[in-house]
Amino acid sequence: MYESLFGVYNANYLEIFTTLFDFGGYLRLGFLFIGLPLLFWLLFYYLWKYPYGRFLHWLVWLLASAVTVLVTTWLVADHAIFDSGNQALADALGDAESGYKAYAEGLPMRYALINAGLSLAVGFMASLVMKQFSRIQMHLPF
Amino acid sequence: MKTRYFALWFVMAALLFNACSSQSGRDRKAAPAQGKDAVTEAPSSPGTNLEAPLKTTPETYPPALGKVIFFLENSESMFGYVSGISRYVGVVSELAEKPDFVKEDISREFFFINGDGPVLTPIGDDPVVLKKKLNTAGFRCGDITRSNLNGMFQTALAAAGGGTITILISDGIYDIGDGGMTSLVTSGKETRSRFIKRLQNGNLQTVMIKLTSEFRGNYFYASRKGKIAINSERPYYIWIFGESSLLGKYFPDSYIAGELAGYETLARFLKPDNGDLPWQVVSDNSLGSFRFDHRVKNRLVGAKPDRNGQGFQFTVAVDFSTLPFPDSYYLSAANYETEGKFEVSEVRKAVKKIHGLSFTPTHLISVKTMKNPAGKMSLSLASRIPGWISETASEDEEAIGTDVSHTFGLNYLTDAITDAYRSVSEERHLATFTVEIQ
Repeated sequence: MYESLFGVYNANYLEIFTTLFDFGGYLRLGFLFIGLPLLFWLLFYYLWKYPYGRFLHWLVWLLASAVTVLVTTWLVADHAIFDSGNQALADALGDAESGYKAYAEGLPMRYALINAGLSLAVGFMASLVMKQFSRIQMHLPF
Repeated sequence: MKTRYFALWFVMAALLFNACSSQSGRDRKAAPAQGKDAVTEAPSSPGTNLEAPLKTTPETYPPALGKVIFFLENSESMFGYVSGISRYVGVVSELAEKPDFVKEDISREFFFINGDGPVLTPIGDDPVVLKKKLNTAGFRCGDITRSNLNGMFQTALAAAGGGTITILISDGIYDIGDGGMTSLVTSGKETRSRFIKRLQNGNLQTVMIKLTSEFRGNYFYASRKGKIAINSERPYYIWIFGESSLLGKYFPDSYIAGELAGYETLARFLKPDNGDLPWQVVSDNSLGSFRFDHRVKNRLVGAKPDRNGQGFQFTVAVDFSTLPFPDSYYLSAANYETEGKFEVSEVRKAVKKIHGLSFTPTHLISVKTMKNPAGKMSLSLASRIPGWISETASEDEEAIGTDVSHTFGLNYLTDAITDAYRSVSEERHLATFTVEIQ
């Protein structure tokens, strides 16, 4: 999805994308933009007992989940690329002439922004579903 | 109502999660009956399809060189090469005492060979004794009146293989007696049969080297009776038979061209194997855009031509180091054949490190198309006969007194060897690389 839909791919740096695919990096990124929003909205709808919640609360929570996804994704992607355990990628990153390092340094933020955006969509849909089963925040977002 | 919402939510979550897997993965699921060429179990291995399975050496257990057997034709037609100091004598001496053989204490045996039988005259295993016989007096043994080139080949071929290399040195002229040109044709067919029979019993590489030397003696016409005294340069040939790995190690082109005085050119004949070269598609020198499939090696997905109308191009990185041909052969785009809409646009040596490969490529072959790139691209390194072989052959020996570079009837001999190697192999190409493009 990141490669084909969002175009985060460059055939000149194949080792990075092979590593993300082979070492489960993409799987972890996918889990983050789905799992973290779900966790956030579970807390919001089922553990938050404040009965006068407003749309602004909901919006802040949505943004908070997106920021959390952004930061977590950045950390996870950075680790998946720079501490992958794949010696071939480590060699490529260490080769100054290859350009791998310069290219790789921009990737975690790209993944983070994509995941943050996706988490907003997932969070919005999740809230529409969860509100049906909430006894307190059933009126949010609208 | 709530149950319906739950179901909807789960379906959406599943769809989003599934979308994280690559496009190529879905492609593969959708097309389980892909050709065997493209399917591999090891995504990190180069060229792991049937055209080029992962393996870096042609022989799993290359034999060590144990013995080298020399066969020196000593029919009277060869006397001109040893009547005095000549490059021929220097070359035989060099080969007999090749530094590698001396350092590794490789056993050597020397034989003269002539006559119809052919007649083998043992010289022993001492290069010093051999050198003492490199003169007309020393050559005068066995049946010097006749030579049987086919018999010589049979003898040399039969002894080669495993840890043994055989070397045959001859003027390469068939002794066809009174049979005329018809006999030349039948002799060539017989040569072919000798090679085929030997090659059926195991693969063997043949190196054919053309050299020239001073020649002061009689030239015996092959196409008619009679002889003519010649005092000029004449070509002669060395055939070396043995396992490819041994010939590659002990007789590289650099040694042959640098150490054998009078060296002109060479050709190597080997049974195309077409299954051992590491190769992989790389993005170097590419035009347009594509992605590498993560699951199927050497499959490109999302291929799109260049937006500026430059077409679509990608590069195949190959390690040719296990093949015995000179660089010039691999670097010539004319030696490659393509199937499909692609054509070879550039071949160059790999000079810088390419990351993402588990082997070190020697050459980069770029292929290009101006059409829609989708489909299969097959690129093959052809097995071509060097041009010098046909240029050296002559069917007329009347001007032999002034001809210093041609050999009468050589084309029948070389055609026979070529045909033999082709007939024992189903594979016509030295290597084939198939890439699937989607």
